[in-house]
Amino acid sequence: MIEVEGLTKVYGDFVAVSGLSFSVGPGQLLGLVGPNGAGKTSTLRCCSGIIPPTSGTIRVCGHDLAKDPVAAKRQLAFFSDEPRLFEYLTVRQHLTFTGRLYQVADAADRIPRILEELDLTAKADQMPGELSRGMKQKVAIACGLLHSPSVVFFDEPLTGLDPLAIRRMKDTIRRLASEGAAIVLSSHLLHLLEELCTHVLILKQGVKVAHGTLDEVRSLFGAEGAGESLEEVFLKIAEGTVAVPRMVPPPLPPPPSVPPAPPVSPA
Amino acid sequence: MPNRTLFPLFRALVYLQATSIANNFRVRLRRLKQPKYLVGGIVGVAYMSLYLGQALFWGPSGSRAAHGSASAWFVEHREVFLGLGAVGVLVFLAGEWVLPGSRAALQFTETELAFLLPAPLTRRSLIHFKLLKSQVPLLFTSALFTLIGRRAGADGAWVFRWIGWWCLLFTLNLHGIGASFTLTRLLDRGITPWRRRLLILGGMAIVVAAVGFWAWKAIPGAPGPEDGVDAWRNWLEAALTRGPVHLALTPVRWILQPWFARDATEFLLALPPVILVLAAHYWWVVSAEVSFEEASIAAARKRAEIQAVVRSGRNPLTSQARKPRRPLFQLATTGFAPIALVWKNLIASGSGLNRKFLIGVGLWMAMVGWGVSGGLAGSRGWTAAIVFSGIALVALVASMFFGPQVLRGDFRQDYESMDVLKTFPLPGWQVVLGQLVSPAILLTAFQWGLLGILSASLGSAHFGQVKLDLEQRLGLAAGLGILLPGFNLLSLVIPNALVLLFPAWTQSGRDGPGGIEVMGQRLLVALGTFFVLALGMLPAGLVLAGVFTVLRAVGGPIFLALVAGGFSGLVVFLAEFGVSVWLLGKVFDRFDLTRE
Repeated sequence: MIEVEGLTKVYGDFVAVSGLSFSVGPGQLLGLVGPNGAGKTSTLRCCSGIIPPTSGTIRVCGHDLAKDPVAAKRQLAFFSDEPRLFEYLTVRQHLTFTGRLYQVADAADRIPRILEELDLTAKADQMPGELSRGMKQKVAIACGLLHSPSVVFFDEPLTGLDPLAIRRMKDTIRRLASEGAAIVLSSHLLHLLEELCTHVLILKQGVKVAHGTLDEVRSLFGAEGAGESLEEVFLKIAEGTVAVPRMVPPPLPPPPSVPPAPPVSPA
Repeated sequence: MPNRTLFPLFRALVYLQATSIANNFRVRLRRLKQPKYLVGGIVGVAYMSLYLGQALFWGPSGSRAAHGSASAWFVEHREVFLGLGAVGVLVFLAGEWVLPGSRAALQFTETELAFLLPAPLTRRSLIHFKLLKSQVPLLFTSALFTLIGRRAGADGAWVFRWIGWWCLLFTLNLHGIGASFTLTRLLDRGITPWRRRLLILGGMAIVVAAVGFWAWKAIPGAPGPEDGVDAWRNWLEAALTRGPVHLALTPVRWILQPWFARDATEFLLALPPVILVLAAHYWWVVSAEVSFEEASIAAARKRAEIQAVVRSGRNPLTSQARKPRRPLFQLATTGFAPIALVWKNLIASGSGLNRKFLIGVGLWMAMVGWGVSGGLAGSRGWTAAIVFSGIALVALVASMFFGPQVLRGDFRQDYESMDVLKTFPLPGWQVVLGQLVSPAILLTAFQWGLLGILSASLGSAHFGQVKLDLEQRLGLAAGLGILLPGFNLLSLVIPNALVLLFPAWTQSGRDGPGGIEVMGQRLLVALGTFFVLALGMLPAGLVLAGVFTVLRAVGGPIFLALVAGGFSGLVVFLAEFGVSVWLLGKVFDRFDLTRE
């Protein structure tokens, strides 16, 4: 679904991401982890076509993002940490607008359904300024999901949400994965990643230091092996108390088969 | 306040101000390493040197003889100007008592409040902070007014003017704070703003009537209604320079006297009274025990919101309290995708099938219909026709050149959401097209309305021997009406191209106060815009003129020549627009937000 090869992003003299390669298959949920300034947001923004990479290739459902950006973007949805809405459009107008942009032929039928699913029906004719942050996040999600994306990027999706909204966001992410979407999730909340993700990619100073399933990443570090939590692994890498092993790119994921959603842990 | 509290506070405030100014200066100097700021800085410094240097070193603009006579005239009527100035200040001060409707609030930034309110400071200390902080802008504004005054022809030593301006501005500042404190006390005692306004206005009316009546009786030669302007001017001069009005204005004249000083002696003599006025105001302000914290927090928040709106390039007057708007048309879910952007931007501009829109269209139709049906015939109709056509013509020309700067429902409106636009599954040229069309539609609709009024009212108007017949009027309106959409689209390309090509130049100052380098950048942008627009108009103008001339030369009717000319110009404009959109689309596809 998404294949990244040798992604590099340079700002002036600063290398934000260096030679990053990874792939995420259908139903897989990749957690992007790293200290502040590791290059997580740059990676997500390059992969979603917001900023051009300095070098490297990104393929979304077989479409090269640089050569055929329109086809690639039709398969994408990107959710930033801060929901970005047009303050002059109502909730329903946002969905109508998105439907036309993505040429969703049955948008007229889908809009009421998606509003209902996300508990937004009562707010459909309200302006973003009248909504809470959690509600705005829901509107952004409704817009992002209207065209049934195959690849979804989340950048710190739980920022500023209350416990109920957090639970709903986690349910949405799980549901998307169970429906076969490839998901990349960047977060500092390591317990969230442990709870949701099938795979983890750890970045440090723009370089990939670990990539694989949770158990594979745990076993790469420390004597305790797979018994360590992701937090302990992360701290070891961030503090530099462990030698970073030479990365071997993990094999490509198996062909599309929807894995069962992981069990929901109590909130 | 005990000295042990005041002096550490004073030192802290001086430290804060000094470091803020120094850091600001350092940041600006560092920014000059970037060519865009360096070039802007050079142009800005050159402009300011030319503008203000002349005022400082060469004196006022204009001929020396003209300046000399103006200066002599000013000196001769100095007392009158002093009196008029005092009346002006008095009116301003009266406004401080009549206009406010809310509680007293001191102007702080949100950050200052976050640090100062929880700090172990008394309310009086906060007022001292406010007064001390206001000195830098007051001194700067005074210096600027002094320089502009000299440029405009004001004479005298600049230092007297500078201190004079400072005395006036600081007194107004103190009076505004004092008045707001007193009004808050009245509010706390249950006197509502409208009751207070009635009382104050009533009191003022009595005082003005009493002083006016006294002056009428005391100063001889009071003119009657049948007397000419000169009689009134002479009497007003006498009333302002002696007698009861002069007496009543004395405390206010004290504030202005340092500014009007002609030499050092006059200046020194003018200082004690103004210091007395300032000291009385200071005592009034610092001794007030009024709660201003909550209102200050609310005011700071409101100001921060307005600043955020301004930084995002929107109009603070129209962006507040947005309400859902009914779109002009229903958007289908499939079809040419850029129409979605047009639809979005039309909603953003406030254009919709609302009551205001329908009333506007109705009024326009009534006006045009009245003009066409001969409502503007006859001598009165002729005057009305001249007025209508004059207003419509001025508005039309202004809309052509300033419309693209006023209507910003394009990349300028959405600059903050550029990352969202980049995620749209559209090729760059479609995004550019969709973003540019809606302001062009609005501008063209407005101009077509004006053309309707113009062609209807011109039927009755004639300028000297020139009178346009129906064919000429219709031909002009149709030709211009056809041409204008193309002209507007091309005009809108320029500011949007600037946003995409030189975002730092067009967005400068969004993240902080503008400086001389930002002013220089804006000058360059304005010059560049003018040059590019002229260049873009040239081919269309040549083709239009060519088609019109040829058609007239072969005996074609004027209507046909005007319409064909307009159409040929439109084709050229659209061709230029198409190429521009294609090129800008490429720029948008490569646009890297992180470089800005």
